[in-house]
Amino acid sequence: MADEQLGNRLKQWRAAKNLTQADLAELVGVSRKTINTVENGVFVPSALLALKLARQLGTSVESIFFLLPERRGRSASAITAA
Amino acid sequence: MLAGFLFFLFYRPFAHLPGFQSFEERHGGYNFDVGAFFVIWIIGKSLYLYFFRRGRGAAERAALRDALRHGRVKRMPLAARWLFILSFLGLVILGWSAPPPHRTSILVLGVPLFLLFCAVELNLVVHPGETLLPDPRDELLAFFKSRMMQAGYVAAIAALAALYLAYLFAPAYIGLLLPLVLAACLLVPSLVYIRLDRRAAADG
Repeated sequence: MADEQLGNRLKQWRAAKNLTQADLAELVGVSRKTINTVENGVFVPSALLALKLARQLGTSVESIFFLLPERRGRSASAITAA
Repeated sequence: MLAGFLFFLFYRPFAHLPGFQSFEERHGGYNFDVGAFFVIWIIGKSLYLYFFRRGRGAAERAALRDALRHGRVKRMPLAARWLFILSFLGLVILGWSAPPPHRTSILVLGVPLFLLFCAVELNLVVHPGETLLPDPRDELLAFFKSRMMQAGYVAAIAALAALYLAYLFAPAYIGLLLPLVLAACLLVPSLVYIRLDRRAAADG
């Protein structure tokens, strides 16, 4: 099985919609910390939260979250932790 | 309440009642006045609340329930909790090493308070979050909980190993080590929570 990791473009999508982390958190009903940890790749959200984020940002889940095929170490911009 | 408890513990007003000392001696020297203090405290407070603050008490309880439900009641800060735990741990160790006449008195005060704050800390491990009643659907808190449980489990296994070694090579110190490892097993998940929470709170 490939050592795949989850990357995301949540920060870019949020910035494109001119939303702060707190704004987006309120729209999807989570804490600002949750949005921050998803953006930083510390926390992998559930499918439910991913769908809610995509709906609020007016895009698809695949355009926000994507698979990174190879491990790039903990300092990579997107990492999985769950 | 603490002042009243200390008054009962050290002045022992019931000891001045006729026949109480002989009653205590017949029943193995337990601190019956400590138990009596709690009974008197609970009855007294219940009567006071029932007769003088019934309406206001109901309104306060309703406001508290509302605040709990909406996450407005925050937990005691970690530093304060650990100040209490370490203070009462110190009291337990002091009681353990004190000579017999003072030992029971110190342990009667220190052990329940130490265990009470350990229970408070354990509640944070089981239900992490800043508020007293965290949202059970919060995914991030569930993630924190899994990491804290993982760290706590490793700490508990290491503590058991340490206790086993102490039992084999220095059994006289088991009584001293038990509260220490209990505190350590609770401190590890708390530190993990702090680290994760700070990382989550940091601006991305």
